[in-house]
Parts: sequence; C-alpha cells; structure tokens
Amino acid sequence: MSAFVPPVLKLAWRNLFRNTRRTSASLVTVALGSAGLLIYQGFNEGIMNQYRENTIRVRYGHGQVYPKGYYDKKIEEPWSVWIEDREAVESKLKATGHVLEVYPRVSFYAFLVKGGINLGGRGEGVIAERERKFFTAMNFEAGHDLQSPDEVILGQGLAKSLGVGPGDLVTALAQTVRGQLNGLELKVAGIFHTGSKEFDDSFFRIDLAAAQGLLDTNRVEHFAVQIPNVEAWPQASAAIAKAVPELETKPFDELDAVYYKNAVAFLDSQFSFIRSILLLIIALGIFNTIATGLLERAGEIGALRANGESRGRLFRILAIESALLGLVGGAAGIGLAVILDKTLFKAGIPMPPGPGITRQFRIFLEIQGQHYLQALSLPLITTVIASAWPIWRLVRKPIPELLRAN
Amino acid sequence: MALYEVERVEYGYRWERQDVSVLKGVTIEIPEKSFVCLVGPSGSGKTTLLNLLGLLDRPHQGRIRFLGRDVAALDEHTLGRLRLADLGFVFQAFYLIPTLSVLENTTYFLAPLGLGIREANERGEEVLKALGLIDHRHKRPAELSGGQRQRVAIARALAKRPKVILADEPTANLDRETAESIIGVFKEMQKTGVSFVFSTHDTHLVSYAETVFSLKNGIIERGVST
Repeated sequence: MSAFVPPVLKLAWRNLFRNTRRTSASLVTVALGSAGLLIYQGFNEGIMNQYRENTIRVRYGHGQVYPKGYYDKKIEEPWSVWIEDREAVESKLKATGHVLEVYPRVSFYAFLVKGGINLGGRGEGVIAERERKFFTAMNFEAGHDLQSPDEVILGQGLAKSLGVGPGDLVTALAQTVRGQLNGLELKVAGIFHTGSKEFDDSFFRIDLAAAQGLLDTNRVEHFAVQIPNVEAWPQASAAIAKAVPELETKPFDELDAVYYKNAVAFLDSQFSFIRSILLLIIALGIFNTIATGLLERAGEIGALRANGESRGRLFRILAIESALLGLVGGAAGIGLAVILDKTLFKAGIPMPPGPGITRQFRIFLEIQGQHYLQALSLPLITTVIASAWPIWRLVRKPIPELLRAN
Repeated sequence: MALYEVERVEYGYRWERQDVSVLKGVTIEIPEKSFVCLVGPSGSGKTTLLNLLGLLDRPHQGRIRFLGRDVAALDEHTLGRLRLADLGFVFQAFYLIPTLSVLENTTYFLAPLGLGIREANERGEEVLKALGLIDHRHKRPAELSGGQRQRVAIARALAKRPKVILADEPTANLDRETAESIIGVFKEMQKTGVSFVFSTHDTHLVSYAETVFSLKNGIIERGVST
C-alpha cells in the first residue's frame, strides 16, 4: 500500500490477513448477511412495485380528481355535485403540464340480469379507447376490451356468477339521477381478471356515454389522471389544485388505502423484522470471531501497551479492522446479490397469490441505489458495534493480565 | 539522579480466598546507565518487580520513583507517555506484529513519538544494522529464526532510544552464540546511556551484569554490585 495511506489504516488492513481462515469466516458471515439484505430488499421492492403498478394500471391511475369533499361528506344526491363541463376541466388539467392524460368516469350501482339470475354489481362508465392505452393490467381472459357503446366487460367472478361469456347479452338495470329505473341491454365483450378478488367479483365497465345515458346525466363523477411517474404526484396535485380549485385530488395509495397502503405497511414491517434478524446474525457471528481473535492477540496487545501504545490508538486500529471487515464483507455481499440477480433470479421468483389476490405473481428483484448503500452501511455499522465491546474490554485490561494471557 | 528508587515495595493478590504476598518490602536503587539482573527461582517475584519497574502496575505499599518522579502520583496517560518515551520492553515471546515487516515492527512506536516516516525509517535501519538485521528488514517475523525475532523485539525497544530497557528472559530462546552477540549489543548500547534491567535465569547473562538482585519469596536476599 502507498505511504500516503495512514499507518493505522494500513496496519488494520494488513491485520485482516493475519488469520485468513478466521477472516474468511467473518467475511462470509457479513457477505451472506449483506446479500440477504439486498436480495430481500430487492424482492420486497419488486412485490411493492408490481402491486403498485397493478393498483395504478387496473383501476385508479396515479390519482383521481373529483368534486371537493365528495368522499368525505355524506351527499344525499351524489350526482348533483358531479362535474358538468368535462371537456373544459380536461383542458385545464392537461394545461397544468403535469398531467399526461385524463380519464373521465362515472360509477354507479346496477343490477345485471341474465335469464333468471339477477346480481348487484358496481359499474363504471369509461372511454375505453383512451383507457386501454394506460390501464394495461385488466388482463382479459376471454374476449376483448370495449369496442362499441352497447358492450360490457365483466370481472371474472361476476361473469362466472352470471354464467355468461363473450357474446352473451345481459341487461343492466340502474336508477337514473331522477330516481327512475332505467335499463340497458349490453353484449358481453370480454371477461377481465385483475387478480383482485373484490374487484373481479363485483365490477363491470361500459362505455361512458352509455353509462351517462343509463343514469340520465351528462356529468362525470371523477377523472383518473396519468402523470409521468408516482414520484411526481405532489407537484401534479398542487398544480391541479391551482388549475381547478373547485375540485380536489387523491393519490392512488389513498384511494386504495385498505389494500395498497396496508400491504405496503405489512411488507415494510416484515422487512424490518427480517432485516433485524439478519443484522443480529451478523452481529453474533462477528462478535464471536472477533472476541476469539482478540483473545489470541492479548499478549501482543499487552506488549504494545507495555511499550507505550495508547488504549485509544489500539482501539482505533482494532475498530478500523472490524470496519474494514464489514466494508469488504458488505461489498462481497453486494457482488453475490448482483450475481444471483443476473443468474438464479433472472427469470423472476414465482409467488403464489397473496391475500385478496387470485393471480400468481412473478416477482423480479428491483434493487435500487439506496439499497446498495444500506447493504454496505448496515453490515459495516453492525460489525463495528458488535466488535466494539470485546475490543473495549481487551484494551481496558491491565497490562500484566494481557501479558499473562498467551 | 537514580533511574529507580524502590522503597519498601509490597505487592500481592488474592488466590482462592487467601492473600498471597509476592513482594515483601523490596528496597533497591538502580542508577542510570546500569546493567542489572534480577535473579531468583520461579515465583520469587522477579516478573512482578519487572512489571512494577516498567510502570505496568502500581505497588500496593511502598514507593517507586522513576527518574525522580513518584509513580503513584502519575495518571494512566502520563505513565503511558513515560513507557513510550523512556522505557523499552522486550518479552520472551517477542510479541512482534506478524503482518508488519522487520523494519515496520522496529519503527512501530516512532510515529507516536512524533517522528516522520523518513526519519523513523532512517533510525530503524540504523538500529537494524547494529543488530545485524539490515538484510532482513523487508521480511515478516514468520520468515525469521527465533534469535532473529528476539533481535527485532530488541530493535523495536532500542529504536525508541529509551532510558531503560526491561527484558524478561531475553536470552531464554537463543543459542549460546546468538545470546552472546545480543549481550554484546546491549553492552554497546549501554555505552550510549541506555540502562538494562533483566529478569533471568541465564547465568551467562548474569555474569555480564554490574548489579544482581537476588529475590527469594518476595524478598531481596542479596544485592551484589560487581
């Protein structure tokens, strides 16, 4: 090493090689812990991102814009506050520069009738041609998306309960905004399977204009919005609030609080727990090997102290040794995780359906910049903390006791 | 001024619920530039006295003055500084750092003493030359014989240019010829003002001593100056 490297660092580095078997054992412990952290974090991120994408691209978009207080207040005639001039609002939203596309919708409850079967469902009127470019996670298991105003697409569970398939006719019965019963005959265009049991068991979609006709209104209930990415929501939301102050916004994770937010919180706390276990394994492994290694060096340390080496400098050398162990082990762990990501996990990890989900997932590790930093820094900090106590105890020992030790 | 003034020093410990007295009222004086041997059977208190003279421990009773300073009045930091600057220790087991070269081991304490890398290396090489180790300066301790390692341990102590070198059985692991050459180095260094205090069983080394303190059961039986 160069003469410019501080002597303490140089000595600490060389001391890593004094017992290669023990150093290797420590490095393997740290590296496996670090790789485990990184892989699990990438896996967690993969699950969350897939779940997030699914939530956004099935139903909610990045967020929604609706009349102020619409979801918070009890409104006796909800349609009375619906948005009147759809096109003007669309223009204002797009003019903010933050919104890439807007998807006007109405939602309503209706009875779907097929022969003697009569089922309640939740309908949405959408502009299918516009929606299909962004809402790509609908997953048609039979038929196709809406192509004409007299068609309907049904969730898998709902279609099964009705006993219908593509090409069959169903009747939708709903109450108009004036309280009269209205009906619409629709041809089943497709059956979708989003993976969310709740959605697939009760939802159907029809053309927006047809839904407005059924409800006897020309208003829209809300707009789903598409923005460049999830992270841009705060700026987009602020711009929308400024452009259309009579409306308010909600991001997808609040709209789907029950499933998405809870799932994220659940995965986060699960990850925290597993991270603690991994760090504890590193700490125990390191504590054991460092303590054993230090005991073997007690005489040498006693001799150094007898010749005037200070406790502080010795502590620094030994602590830097542990830090280097943590750093090298952490880096090796990252290398191992990257190799596994590019080989073993390249095709993704098949996962069974989660709670409330009916579809299998294939999770890809999504390792991000801050994960590498964590996989390097957490084992490093853990290693230093785990070794601090045995080092401190050793350098505090009386010198004659150290000299008698070996 | 005397190098050491040891007055009625007592030292003991508890072993299996019994007080064991190791040194019982030891009084000696060691002048500067001395060549002193502590002799006596195992368990007589030689190593304990050497530890006390090396400022590694404090007496339980009595007083030790090192260069006129009462050791009992000094804090840990000051004792550490004195050990670094004025004392050199050589151990029977050498205790060299296996990951450092001979030269790096020799100069290990020179950075804390404030020497720069170049000055430290020059001093280290000078000492290694005097001890016949200059050709081995880039080797690791594991590549050396026992006698060579002992000389490196001595070089490490000498490089500090201490007032006194204390050594526990410095010739115990050496053959006669090597021991002879090392004693020669000690005598040479003594001329430059360094004192030597050895704990030893080696009668050959004792024959070179100017003062021999014979310990038995923690008491100085004889103090002989030649």
